[in-house]
Amino acid sequence: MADLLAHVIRKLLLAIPVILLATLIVFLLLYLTPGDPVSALAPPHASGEQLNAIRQKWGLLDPPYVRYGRFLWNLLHGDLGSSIGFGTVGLPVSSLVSHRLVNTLMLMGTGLAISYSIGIPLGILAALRQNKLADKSIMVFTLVAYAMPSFWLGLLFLLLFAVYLGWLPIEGTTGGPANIILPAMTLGIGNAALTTRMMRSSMLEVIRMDFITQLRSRGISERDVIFRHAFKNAVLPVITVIGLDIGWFVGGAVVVETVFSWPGIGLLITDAILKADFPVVQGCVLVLAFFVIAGNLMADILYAVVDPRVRLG
Amino acid sequence: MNQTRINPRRRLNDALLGWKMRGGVRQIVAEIMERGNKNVMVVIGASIVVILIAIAVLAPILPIVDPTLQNGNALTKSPSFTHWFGTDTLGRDVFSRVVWGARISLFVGTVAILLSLLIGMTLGLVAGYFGGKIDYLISGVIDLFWTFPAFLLALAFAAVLGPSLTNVMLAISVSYWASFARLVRGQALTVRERLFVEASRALGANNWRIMFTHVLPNCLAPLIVWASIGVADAITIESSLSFLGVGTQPPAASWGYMLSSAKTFIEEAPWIAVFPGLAILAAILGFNLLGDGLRDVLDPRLKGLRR
Amino acid sequence: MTSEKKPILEIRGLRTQFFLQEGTVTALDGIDLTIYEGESLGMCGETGCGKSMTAFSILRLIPHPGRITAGSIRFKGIDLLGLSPDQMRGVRGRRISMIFQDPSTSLDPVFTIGQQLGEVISLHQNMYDKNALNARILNALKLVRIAAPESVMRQYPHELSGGMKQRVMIALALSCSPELLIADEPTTALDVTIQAQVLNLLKDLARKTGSSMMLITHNLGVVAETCNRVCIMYAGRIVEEAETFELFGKPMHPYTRGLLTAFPKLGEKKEELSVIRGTVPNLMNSFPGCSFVDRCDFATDQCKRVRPKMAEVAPGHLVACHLYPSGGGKDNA
Repeated sequence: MADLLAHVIRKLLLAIPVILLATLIVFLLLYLTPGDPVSALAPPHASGEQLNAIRQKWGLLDPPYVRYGRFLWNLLHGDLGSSIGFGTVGLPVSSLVSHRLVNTLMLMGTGLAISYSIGIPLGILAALRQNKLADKSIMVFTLVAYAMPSFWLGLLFLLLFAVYLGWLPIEGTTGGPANIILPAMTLGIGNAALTTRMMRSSMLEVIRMDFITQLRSRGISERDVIFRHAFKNAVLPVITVIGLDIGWFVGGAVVVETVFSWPGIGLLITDAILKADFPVVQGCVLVLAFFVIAGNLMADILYAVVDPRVRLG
Repeated sequence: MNQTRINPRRRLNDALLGWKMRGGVRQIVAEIMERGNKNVMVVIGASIVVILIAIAVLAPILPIVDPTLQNGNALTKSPSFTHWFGTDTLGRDVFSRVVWGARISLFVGTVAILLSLLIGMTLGLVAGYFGGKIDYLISGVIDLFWTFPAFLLALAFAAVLGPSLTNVMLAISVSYWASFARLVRGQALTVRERLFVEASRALGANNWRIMFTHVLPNCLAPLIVWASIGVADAITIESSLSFLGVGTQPPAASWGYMLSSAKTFIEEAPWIAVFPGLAILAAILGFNLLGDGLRDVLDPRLKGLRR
Repeated sequence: MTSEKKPILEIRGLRTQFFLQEGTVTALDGIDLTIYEGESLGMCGETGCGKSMTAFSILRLIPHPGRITAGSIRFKGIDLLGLSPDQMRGVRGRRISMIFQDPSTSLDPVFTIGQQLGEVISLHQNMYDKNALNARILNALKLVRIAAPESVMRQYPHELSGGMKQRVMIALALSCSPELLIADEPTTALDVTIQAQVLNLLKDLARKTGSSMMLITHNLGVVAETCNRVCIMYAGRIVEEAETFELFGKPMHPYTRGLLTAFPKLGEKKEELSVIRGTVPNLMNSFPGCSFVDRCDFATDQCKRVRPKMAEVAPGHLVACHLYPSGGGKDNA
């Protein structure tokens, strides 16, 4: 246990400079943005003096390291600045983000669940029927599902379920369960392809191991051998990858939310980009980056929990 | 003991050449020709890619309607014999827009990856050549960029730079270089080790040039595989960005952009949502198959290096 | 000495083949074998000669793409090859069980020792009451002389040493008192010091439970220690079979002799280790004659053409070699 704790602490400490670097990059990105945010804040036909006064007020004339320092300081206090976008000027970014965060988390969570509930059984099936028709068609499915752009899949789902069949609503703003199905499925299917492949190869590897034959030699039923023993061994490496999947899902969420008008962070960042609302963009990027880093960290830790040999590294 | 002065650079070169090289352009092309025919994925992938490139290159001379022509008489028509993919709400022929869209998507995809390759190779070589602290620094940056989903990075960069074709290409190349850099760096480090071994016997040769001539041929096979898959990823990213509105802008008819307007009119003109997406799927599938197939052909050991 | 005992396993003409893309590999080419009640039979030979494959064939656990293509296996009168998969499963672990070579890969790493033992015991003994089950598990662990069985029960395989894992394997195999125990190289993966302990344990337990044992090994020393009778296998065929002392004292087949001389003996001074020249033949090719012909110093033309049959050249001592035509014994150089 002690070595696991040491490993976790080490990984956490290593993550800190990564997060700092991310904040630096985000800050630099916006610092270097061409265009002047002031013009959005100032009344039209403002004089040069007035513009400068506004710049002074917003601290835009200070040297970069001061601005970065202020940025970090604010960050630690949960202050992500204020929006300068049309319709939301002055609203604190943090509140805008937190309202949307829950929705995105719901979407990602459901998507993950769908992805794994499709991917794991398919992977097992493909492994058990290796090279037969079931396996080959599953492999083709994964190939196509992986290549399919998520927004197109979303559009197709919309077409099918909302337009032609009229089963589900087109735009998801009420947040009810019906609204989450389509976007979650869109997210889930793309990742399901990867999960299927991983599960299949993991299962294939495990089935060939000595202890499986040993179990059979003890008279244990084939069903128990596969679904109790082989499965438990094979699913472990697949589960540890959940953290890395989060990175994939974050990117996917941005697109899928736009397709279905799902009120999450993805939609927020897209709108903000189009409105040139840079503080909001900055805040969103930070949150998304944080998710990705946290996801990777989780994957690292899970992996160490599962495989004791990794803890020394 | 009459020993003629041996050119140290020649000697170093010979020593390194004695080391078994798996690369070399001619060898790789030969392998592809010989074994590629038998591999299903390569055949299908290459066919799709070739067809796409042909369409893209030949678009101006193909007997199709001008994609920007707005035909007031044929607004929002569903697919028919005159308009294979139908028309959009401004009367433009969707089929020719899809064909012309190939130019943009392929152009962006390939250029972005080439740029990415350049950045990655340079950084990888530098890291491998200098080693030590420089390598440590660059590796850290590589790791950071590698674990981060390229799409998010590209989104951030595109947001900052503003929506346009060139910016999308820049954004993608800045986000995707990490995998190439890793590859080249690994190879460069190996060569550097050999250099140290041999250099103790040789005298002050021009290491930089030798590194260059020995590192790249060995990386060639995996680089080709990753580049092909990279183009698929680049097309995905570009179309996603264009769909969101931060990528290519009108009047450039990029596939992704077509789909974004398709969403608004999904009830009136559902066919606009179908065909550009199909084209994107075909392109991504083609390059993915080609890359995977080439990997099987050139080196089965590379399997599992994805992600 | 063997005639009063009843045979519990009779194999006749067993042929097991693997159907690969490159060709067909004949792993077992017509094996005739009998194991009697209460005895311990050693199966000896080089790697790849088919020793393990015989075991797998008996339990019908041959990996794909292999199959039994000829012959019969009778276990106490039951035709094993005619059993349905369900019936065969009833035999495995309960009436015939097997211990594998490498204990570190033969136990499921994600279940505790107690769970794995419990699974086997409850399956075969229809015992589901927790307390009774736990008592049986502890008993099984004590039987194999594991100290602190309560804590071992809760441990995972990777927490145990090689010797302890092998004991657990033995416990698993003997938990339901099988009539036949097959041990495939049970000590090869263990430290030398542990080997003796495990072998003794096997011997004692087999004697206690009255099980017969089939001990597969390439180590003649182990055979000498543990087995009543020995079979020597080469290239998928049995070439010699006798009681242990008889075989070691009067080896007949050239291969057996080569094996015995290659084995360095304590106290013997040798400059070089003697080897049998040549290498094991490719089992994809079929040999009309004797499979040892290319490496044998006494090979004749007949050896190349005609496959020698097993013939009894002394009471209980069978050889398949043209040097010893049936009915006679030629004492050769």
